[in-house]
Amino acid sequence: MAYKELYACGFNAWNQLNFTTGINWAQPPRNERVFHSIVQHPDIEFVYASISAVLIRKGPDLLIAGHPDAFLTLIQSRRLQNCRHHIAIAGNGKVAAIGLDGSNSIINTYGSLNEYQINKPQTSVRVPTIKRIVANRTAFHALTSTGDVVSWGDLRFEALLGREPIEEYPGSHPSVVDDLAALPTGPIRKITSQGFMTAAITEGNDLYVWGEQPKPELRTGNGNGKGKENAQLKLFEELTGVPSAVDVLGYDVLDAAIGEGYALVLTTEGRLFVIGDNINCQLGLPEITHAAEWIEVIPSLQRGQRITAVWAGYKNSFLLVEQLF
Amino acid sequence: MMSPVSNVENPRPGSGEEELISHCLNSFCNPEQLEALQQEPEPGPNFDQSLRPCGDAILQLLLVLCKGAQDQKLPHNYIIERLDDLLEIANEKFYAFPFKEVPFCWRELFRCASFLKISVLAMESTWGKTQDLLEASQNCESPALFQILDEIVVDEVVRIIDMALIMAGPPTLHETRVSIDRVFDLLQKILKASSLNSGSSDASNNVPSPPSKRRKINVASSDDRFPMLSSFSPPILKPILKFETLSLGKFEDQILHPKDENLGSEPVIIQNCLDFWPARNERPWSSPSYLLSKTIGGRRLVPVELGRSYVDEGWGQKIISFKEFLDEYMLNDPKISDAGVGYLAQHNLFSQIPALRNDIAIPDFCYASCPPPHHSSPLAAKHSELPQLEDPLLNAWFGPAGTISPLHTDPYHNILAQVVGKKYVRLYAPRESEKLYPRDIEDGGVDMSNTSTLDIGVLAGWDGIVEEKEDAHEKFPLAFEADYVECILNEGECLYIPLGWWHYVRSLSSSFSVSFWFNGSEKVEEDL
Repeated sequence: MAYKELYACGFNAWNQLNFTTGINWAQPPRNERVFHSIVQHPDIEFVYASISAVLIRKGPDLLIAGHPDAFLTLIQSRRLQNCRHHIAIAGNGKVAAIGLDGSNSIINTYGSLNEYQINKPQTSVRVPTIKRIVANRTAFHALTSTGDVVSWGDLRFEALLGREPIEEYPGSHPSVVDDLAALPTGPIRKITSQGFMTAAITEGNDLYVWGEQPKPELRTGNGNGKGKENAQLKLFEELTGVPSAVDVLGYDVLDAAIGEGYALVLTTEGRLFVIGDNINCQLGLPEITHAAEWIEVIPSLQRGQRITAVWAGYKNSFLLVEQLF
Repeated sequence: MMSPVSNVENPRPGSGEEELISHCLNSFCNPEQLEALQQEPEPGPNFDQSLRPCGDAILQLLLVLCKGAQDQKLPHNYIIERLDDLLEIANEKFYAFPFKEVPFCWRELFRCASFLKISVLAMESTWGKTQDLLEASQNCESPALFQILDEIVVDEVVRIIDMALIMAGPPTLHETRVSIDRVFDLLQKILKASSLNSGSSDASNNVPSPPSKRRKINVASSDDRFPMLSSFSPPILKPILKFETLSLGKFEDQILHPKDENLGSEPVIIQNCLDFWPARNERPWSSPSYLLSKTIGGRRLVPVELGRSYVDEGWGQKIISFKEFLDEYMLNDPKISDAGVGYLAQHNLFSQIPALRNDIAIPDFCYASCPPPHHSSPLAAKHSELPQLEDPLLNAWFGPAGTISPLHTDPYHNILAQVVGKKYVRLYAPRESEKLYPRDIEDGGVDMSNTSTLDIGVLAGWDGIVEEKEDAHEKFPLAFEADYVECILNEGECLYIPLGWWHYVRSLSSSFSVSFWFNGSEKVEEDL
């Protein structure tokens, strides 16, 4: 198996980017300003991040760095090892998961993690077979095995659903996002979501986004001038309640990751482009606090290495780097 | 930074700064509570548990930062950076829930991190040696070692506290509210000392000048009044009953025993009940310079509604400094200004700036026994579910001529006190509700059933073009049959708006009103 490395940068208040040593509060960790290798192993992947911790898979092991919350600890537990992509927690604490019996054609939505643990779903809806569930601040999305996207969540942020709730398909019930069916470059093969935004990649490597622009108020509360100048910056012009194709400088999109107010895109040529908030250096750009347009990031890789996947945690970012020759 | 000139009459330079730092250390940088929260088993009932649901990770970081503010062994910029991160985390939660459902712990975290941050900002120039300096100063060894606080830092401190008060709400602990008021008193003192030391007695020295503004308003000159010209004065065809004075007993009688049982209690105007308010006398709210003096030279932040009316397209809200609000929206002619209409509307200014609360008094009428929601109101059932208020709810309404509150009802009885300027008010009884085309649950699940679809300005022919009025005739035929009463509420008058009555309010000049919501019902009497 080819040699692999996990690269990371960004928010590191709880030392969650460090899998070798624990936290020393006498010398508290600073944010990691550029992408650098944090774990090396022939078989690794990023799994999940909470505000204060990061969970990765290294061979057969699920490892945590930082200070895990209850949700991350649950995913790490053996019970969920085989279906960790089938559960997600939203910013408002609601949890969505496939049926507890492992039936991935039922989606249960719970008011909280506690309600999940005692299996008291608020809603239980039959759906086509689910490959993956993701969550953002107030909405959930699920990708079906046939490449459809299903969305549901809080109606106050209707744009996050990517579809118009109607009586037959209310916003609170998992229902298909029609605008993503029958796209020119085929069905959806991946979804990624965080903050107020969700993105989908088609089989033909096009990127679609929907949601709301980051709230301007999110920056005004945060003083010291830091980030204040970004108050009105939009993430994508294309970002509305209707899924729209995003042009990443004409490139085909191999992988993408949506973070809290930022996005990473990996092109089929293996080039990395980023956009959005960089206050915690989550884009790996040490000189700026915000990228208003796509900027290419070139991490210092070894000879023969190539980026093959990207992920976004909570204001931190991860790259899978493979040795190709 | 101006250099202080020592002057016998002036307070020792830096003494206000010293007091501020010492006060902040004592009030906002005490790790005891946080330490107790992380102990197992849970600490006793004396400890405030409200932060606990934020989770251990956040509590641990907050504790590190709090201790860091005390012992100052960590870099200053590290602490500020992580406090900003915590503020962001709390702020993100504010947008994850409907406003009223935001878990309390996130509001508390926002306040804690904000108050810790202003403490750390105040100590920047003495970082690493603050405690030693305080000690030395107390022993009178070496006075005047505290650097004068830069005005930019004063601005920042005010901004951080006000964002916390507005976004997260006022602290629940009385002790903390008192501590915050003390910070504002000390900032006022620091600014006063710095203007004295700079050799200038000009009051406007205390006023920050916002960058790149079109013109600076010289508050000291001119006649220190808001523009009082009213653009237009609608004729009053269906006047509201007016009393020069009214006793509480007679007021109760009016509202509990209406003339017309089918109509319920009716609006009344009481003309002379605000005569003794300081706000209309020696502490005049009609004076921009007085209001600036109560807001740290206009530095305090206020939430402002932008746009003509909350149902209009493009309506929005922003939080700006009081000075900016005066400059942009109150003292500028809206016809020349491109800022549009700004309205400090439905804001509990008095819990945020208690000094202004002392300028007014709660009218006795708010303690009257009042009737339950009238049966003719379609919202009666909803309104009767509301719990009884212990004290009236106060809100400030401060804006230029031309602000509009569209036709709506409130879930409480209301005394609207007109402190400065005048307003047109039109009222429809609850039994007219059907003719007023109440809105529905709108996009995003917001219940708008307390707001009418009608634009009274268009109906009356004051706004829009003739075609729009004709259009309204066609779309809302019943509206023109609905019975109403109306008034021009003048400075010094109070209007009683019974629970459930629809009202349309439009300022005819610069205007400052206070609304008092109350719902003390007859039951209180029966219990006795």
